[in-house]
Amino acid sequence: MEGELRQFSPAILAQFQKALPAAMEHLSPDELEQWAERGLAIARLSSRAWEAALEYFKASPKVLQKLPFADFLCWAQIGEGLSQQSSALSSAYFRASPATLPFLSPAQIGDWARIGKMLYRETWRSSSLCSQLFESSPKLLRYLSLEEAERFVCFLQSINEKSYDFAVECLALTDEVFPAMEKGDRKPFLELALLLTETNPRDAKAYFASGAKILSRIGSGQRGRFLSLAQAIASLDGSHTPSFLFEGSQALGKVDEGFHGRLLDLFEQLMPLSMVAAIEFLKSSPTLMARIGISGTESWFEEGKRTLRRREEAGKAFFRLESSKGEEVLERLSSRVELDQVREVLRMYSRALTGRNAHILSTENLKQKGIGWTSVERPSTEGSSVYLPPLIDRYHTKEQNFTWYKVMATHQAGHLEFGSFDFCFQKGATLFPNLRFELAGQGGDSITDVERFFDLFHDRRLAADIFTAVEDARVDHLLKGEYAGIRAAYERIQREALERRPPLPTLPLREAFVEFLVQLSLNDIDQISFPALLEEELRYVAGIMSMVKSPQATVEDSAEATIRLYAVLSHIDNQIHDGDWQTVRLGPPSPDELRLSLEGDGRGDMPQGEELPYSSPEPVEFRGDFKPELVQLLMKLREDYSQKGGPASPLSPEALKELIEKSAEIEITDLGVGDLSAMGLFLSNLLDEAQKPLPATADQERKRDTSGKSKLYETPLEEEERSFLYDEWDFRANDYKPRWCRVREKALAEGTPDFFENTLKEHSRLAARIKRQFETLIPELFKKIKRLHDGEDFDIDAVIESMVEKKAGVTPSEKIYWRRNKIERDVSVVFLLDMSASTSEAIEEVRRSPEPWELYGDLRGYISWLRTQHDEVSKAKQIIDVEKESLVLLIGALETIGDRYGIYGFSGYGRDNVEFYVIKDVAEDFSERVKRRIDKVTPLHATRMGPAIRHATSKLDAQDSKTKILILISDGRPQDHGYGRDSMEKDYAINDTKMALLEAKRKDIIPFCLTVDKAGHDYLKKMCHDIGYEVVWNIQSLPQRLPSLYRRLTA
Amino acid sequence: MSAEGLRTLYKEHMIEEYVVREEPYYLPLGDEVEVFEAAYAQKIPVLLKGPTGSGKTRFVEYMAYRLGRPLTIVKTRSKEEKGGIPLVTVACHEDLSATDLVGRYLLEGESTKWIDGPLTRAVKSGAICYLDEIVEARKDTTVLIHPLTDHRRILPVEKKGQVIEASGNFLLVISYNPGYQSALKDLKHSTRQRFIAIEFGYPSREAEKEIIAHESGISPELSWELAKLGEKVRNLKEHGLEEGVSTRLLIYAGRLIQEGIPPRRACQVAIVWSLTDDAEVQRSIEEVVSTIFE
Repeated sequence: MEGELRQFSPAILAQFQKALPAAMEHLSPDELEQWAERGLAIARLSSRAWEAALEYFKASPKVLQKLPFADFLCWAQIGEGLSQQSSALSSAYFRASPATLPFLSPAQIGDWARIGKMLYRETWRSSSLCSQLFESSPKLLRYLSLEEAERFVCFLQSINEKSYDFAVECLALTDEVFPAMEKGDRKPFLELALLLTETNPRDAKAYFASGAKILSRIGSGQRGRFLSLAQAIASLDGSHTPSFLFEGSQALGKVDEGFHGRLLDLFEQLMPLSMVAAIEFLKSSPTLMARIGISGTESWFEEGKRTLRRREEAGKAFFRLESSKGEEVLERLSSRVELDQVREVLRMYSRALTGRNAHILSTENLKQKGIGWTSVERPSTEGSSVYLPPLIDRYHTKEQNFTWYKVMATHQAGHLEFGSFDFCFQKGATLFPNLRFELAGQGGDSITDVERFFDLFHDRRLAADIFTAVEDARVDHLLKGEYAGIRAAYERIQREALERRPPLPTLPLREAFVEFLVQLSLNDIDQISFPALLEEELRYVAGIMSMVKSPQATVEDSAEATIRLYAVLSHIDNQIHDGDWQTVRLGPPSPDELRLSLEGDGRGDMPQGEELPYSSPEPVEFRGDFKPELVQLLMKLREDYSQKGGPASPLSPEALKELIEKSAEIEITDLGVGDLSAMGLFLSNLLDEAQKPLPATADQERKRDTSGKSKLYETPLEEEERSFLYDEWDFRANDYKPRWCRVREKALAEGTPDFFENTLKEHSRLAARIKRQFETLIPELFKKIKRLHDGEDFDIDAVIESMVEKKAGVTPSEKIYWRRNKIERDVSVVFLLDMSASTSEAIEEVRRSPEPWELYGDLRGYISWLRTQHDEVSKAKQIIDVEKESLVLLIGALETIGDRYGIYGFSGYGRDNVEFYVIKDVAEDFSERVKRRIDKVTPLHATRMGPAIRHATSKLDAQDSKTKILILISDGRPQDHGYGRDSMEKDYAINDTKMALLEAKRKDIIPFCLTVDKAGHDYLKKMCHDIGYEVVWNIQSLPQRLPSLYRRLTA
Repeated sequence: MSAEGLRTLYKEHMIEEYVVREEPYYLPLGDEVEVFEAAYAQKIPVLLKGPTGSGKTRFVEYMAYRLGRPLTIVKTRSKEEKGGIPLVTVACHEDLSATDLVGRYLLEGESTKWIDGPLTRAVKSGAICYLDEIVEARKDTTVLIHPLTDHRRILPVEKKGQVIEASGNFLLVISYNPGYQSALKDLKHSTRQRFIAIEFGYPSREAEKEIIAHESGISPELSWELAKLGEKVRNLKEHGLEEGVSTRLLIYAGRLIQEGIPPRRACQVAIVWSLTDDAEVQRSIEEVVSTIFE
């Protein structure tokens, strides 16, 4: 036998000999022979079958351990059967067996082989795939039942029909996919995969690859449902399945699992109406859930469903959260308040309370400045603006959330109104004797008064905490006294804050004292649990605090109170005090209690314990951060900059650095103290901030106008760009897409005035003619109006007539006076110039040059023709040039009659980037700069007309002229990236433009469209509907046409 | 109803016979009373500047009463009736022309009849003529008052070919509000330099409290709160509001409160809604109101 084996290959013999001892262990000599015979039989099957036999021998010892010999023979027989088809198959089978068999009962071996064989198609590829399948079997069967494995193989088979590579990839992925999946999910998962292969194998593969991830996002109870929904979608319209599976699951993953069922219920309701809407709904669900919760979402959903029934596109936009209506309903249902919505109200509110220009900004802005403020949740102020968190969602109603904003703003405004930052070291307190002056040495080298004050203390942090509590108490007390209306809400929020305070006994004693101060600042406390030993101190502290809560108290009183409280608190050991906390009743303070000696140093009778490091109390949420030292520094820096135009001499960087290093208001962790670069950055941020002009407000702007050359504005500012958001009209949804386009307004760069001058020179005759024509437009200033009821004098004709009538017995007319009426021409006009790329097109020359073939045989002529051709290309007039020329001529005319006018260009790319260039602002006077800007009018990008028109409309709307005109000069239809559902859709852009024009009309502006596109009639008719428009056939005539058109429009 | 009965229902005066008989309430905020008296003695025309509702008109009434009050106490009632300086008030509007002030011909039967305008009557009768919001009127009116306001003190009546010399007591007082008028409607220098100017500002919180309490009859506490509100809302001038809230509106609010309207509501109708139509500004002011009033 060994001889025969050697004939096949020495390797097989070696393997046989290696397996023999193990086989002999398990088998009787008879069986041993059968065993060897089997191997030989396999090897004999085909020329390469010995490889299978080799694997057979190799696997045998292990298989024999697991199977009784009868089953073993079956096993071998199955292998032999496979070998008849392909030895590679059989090899893979034998090779995989030792690891696979533990997962199978002997009866299942046959099934296993059959499943494996399913993929075999008598091709090299299929056999390779089969082999790989056998090899992966142990891993597969570890996670899948045989039945599931069969489904998987079906899936593989189906995908293999489309792409072998996909099948191989999927097989390789099994290691990752199945282990991560829960047992019950695997079967439906596979069923869906199988279904997907029928429509799109690529989707199926993607789905298979990320299956585990998809399913893990769905709540465990809902996975089956999710998959069966996917199946239903796949069977209806396969194209939606991927977005449901991927985006849908992603969205659900962001929502609490408990709500998945409800959301899928809603989804199912929507499915028969519109698959797209249903999926959009799912995608919007995280936003919805975060803002309005499940019950809100359900009401919102109902509204959306109604919209969808009425108009499908509107419904889709609704569920996509891209319609004004959807947003409106959402807003109504939502209880949260965003700062952006109430910013103006709060700004004016703070302005009213403080009389200062308190800007309301988001705390994010303050944090970004990197000047010592780090919290986004806590409100604050840096002396000029009030910073509030970007949104509030604490309560269930909008009113309460707004009240929270209002109380926060009131507190910050209170700091400004009651002068927390106006602390002056030299100013006396009103309620306390001044200890400051005695304590302070010469200490004159401090930058700010607050710094000098805090320099009095050894432990700045403790002093700052005490000062904060005292000052907050003072401000709150004053606010509640001054403003009776907000008192109730204020006290409610104070109570809420009090409830969140930590209980005193959990704190070490010094911290407990500071915490007690904070609690006292929030409310008057009658009784408190405290160690009896410290009752005297406690009464003293309470007494000082109650003094500060007085209408006469000033910030200097707070400072004096801080000195006294610090004297007591700094002597209290910061240790946990166990036992004997007893209730102390705090009556109104007696004068004796306020006379506690300041000299006492540490109380000897304090129980000894471990001294803990001191840490500041938890901040009170609605009060936020109070940083008087930084604010005073900033205010001082600002003042220096605005007065001297540069940093003042006494402010050396060293002094600044010292201040910042010792200040307790800047977190050391935020600003590694040793880290010089962080310190440098901080300092430069701070100086930047101080130099920045405060955001201008109306009255400041006025001042700027009159003062003209304020130092602050002498340095050229960076190119100012302001952006505006506009809605866009979606004609399919019949609703606006809210805040859809961003218009960026900037002044056009300046070139040379040559273009302007040259144009005037070139068209000097035309210019003169236009000017003459316009001069006739200047109206008579006074006009005599006759036949009035009342007037300056008798209208003799009318009087005579009236007398005649009277004599004749006819009722005489009473209109017998005349008066002069002043007629003023009151026109504002905006020209909106299309600067899209297409305006670079050269215009046809009227003069026809000879065609090249006419010059056949005339070499010189041909060469000169070539030259002229070349010149023409470079010099050829572009559409935009004609547009510019027309404008130049018109400017001359407009200056003659004195109408107010603005010229703007627009272009851009995409909805986020509609560029709006100011060539001449309506409010601006004509100047050299305008001439130079015209030079720079060049073709740029696309044409998104809607937002540009809306922005121009808003400019005109701000004018109070009687006649307002908007003239749009373009060279073609509106188009832009994303301006329509796809690049081919033209209706969307046209409808949005039409709506923008209509909006202008509603604002009493006369819109007019002028195009040089000869194909303009087809879309202009639609776009302009009953709005005036004109197609200029011969573009060369535009310079003449535009002025005469203008005359007609304004006459 | 008899003619006698009708007469008691309303009081009718000829323009030049209207004399302020009862002392109007006026709380001087500075030395404006003394200045006006001096100007009157020296026949110098007076320009009153100030925002609406800051007491310009009341001041003129008060001065007319005060100046017309006989220096010696006159016992008999009939003599008192004869004393006093008439006050002719003309509210100027944009269609008010020189003709309206001076007078015009009317048709009466077969003939025409000349009717003096209010200014002519005032000039003739030696009244204080108060042209309220003078810049609103047409430009020709301002030219008309030039000869009246310098040493000449004459009123030319073009259509009749006459010149009327002003009676000894005549004084021209004009008012204007520099705040809201656009630059177009500014007063010309040739006009404004014929007047001494008294500026009216908003009263201090204490003074305003007095005024509100007196005029509306509400408690000092409430009028203090109203004065506080006034001060706060005035902070919004040029920050959403063109004009601060006038004392007059605060008084109206006080009167409504006096009649039993809850303070917040009274402020809403008398102040918030009167001041502005801008919803956002309205809301801001309402927040200030709700912060101050319970």
